[in-house]
Amino acid sequence: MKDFEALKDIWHGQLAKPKVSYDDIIKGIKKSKSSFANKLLIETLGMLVIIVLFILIWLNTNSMMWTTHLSFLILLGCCIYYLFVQLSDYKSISNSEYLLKEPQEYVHYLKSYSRKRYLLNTTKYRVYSIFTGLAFGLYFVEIYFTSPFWQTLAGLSGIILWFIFCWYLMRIYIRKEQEKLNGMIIKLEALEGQFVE
Amino acid sequence: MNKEALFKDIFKSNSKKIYHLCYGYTGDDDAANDLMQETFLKVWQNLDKFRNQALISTWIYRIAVNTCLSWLRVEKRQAKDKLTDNIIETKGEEISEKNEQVALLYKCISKLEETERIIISMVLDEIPYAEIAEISGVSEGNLRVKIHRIKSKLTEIYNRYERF
Repeated sequence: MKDFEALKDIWHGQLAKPKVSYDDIIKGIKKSKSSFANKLLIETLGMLVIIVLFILIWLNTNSMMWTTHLSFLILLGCCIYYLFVQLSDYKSISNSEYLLKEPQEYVHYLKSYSRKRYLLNTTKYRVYSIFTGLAFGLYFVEIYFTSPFWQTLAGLSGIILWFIFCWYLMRIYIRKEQEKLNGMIIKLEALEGQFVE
Repeated sequence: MNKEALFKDIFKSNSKKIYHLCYGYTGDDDAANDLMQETFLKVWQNLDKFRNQALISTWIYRIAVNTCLSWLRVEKRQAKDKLTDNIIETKGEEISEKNEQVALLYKCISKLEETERIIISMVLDEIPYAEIAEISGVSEGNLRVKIHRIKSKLTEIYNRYERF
């Protein structure tokens, strides 16, 4: 039979030491800084190039129908929205204010962050896809009046197939996200409950 | 003192205890190293915020505790339980008695609730109760009661396992 003091002696006699050294941490800091910055930079630049490309096409194409103007407007709106979401998400991830708060508050923050991410990955993404599809659909109205019928048909068929493909993928994705969120919320609520005095 | 020198100093004086806390929480060496690394990355990012704080270790522990709490991969934790069992059952003869006792102690800690694992790791590392209360956000009075309960629970689990 051992008492708590004996367990304390065992604890202090442990030889297990961290494998991570100070140099590893410094290397990790530099690596995480550059990979974070690179990812952010590539995604932002990529989206900015697309936005500029859309604007150039929009400004340099003559005799557009109102449906085409609306289509470009929606597409640009979607791109800017995506850019905004990406930037605000990175800002939120790098916001370390909550990390210094009491554990109970931090768990509460994790819960609301998980719900926010779920909403972003499901509902908001669905709305984003619908608007993009709508924009392409509107674009094909002009194609219908100015190009051979087969081109319109091929374009519209492509959009419909794309929609079906996205819908199918989203169905699987949303189900997985829902399961993940439920598991996480159960775990976080259990953690929150442990802090109740 | 420049940032890197201060950070090195902080790392030297706290890394072992933070590692113990992470190991106590996860019961897994690799996960403990990952969590410790993540904790110190966050410490570096927040170093300016608590440069003049009297008890810098409290903030480091707070970051470590919150980092551990966000470690929610349930599957990995289940795998870890099996692994710990495996170490004790099959490799028991290969490791020294001391290491076996340490492995058993970690296994017993893994049977506690998450917050209990965090608190008991700090108690075993002899962190003052006032500091544990500050880190965990539990009032000192309640903490004393909690610690008393966790100590009894851990001792009971350990003695039960040791008999087999």
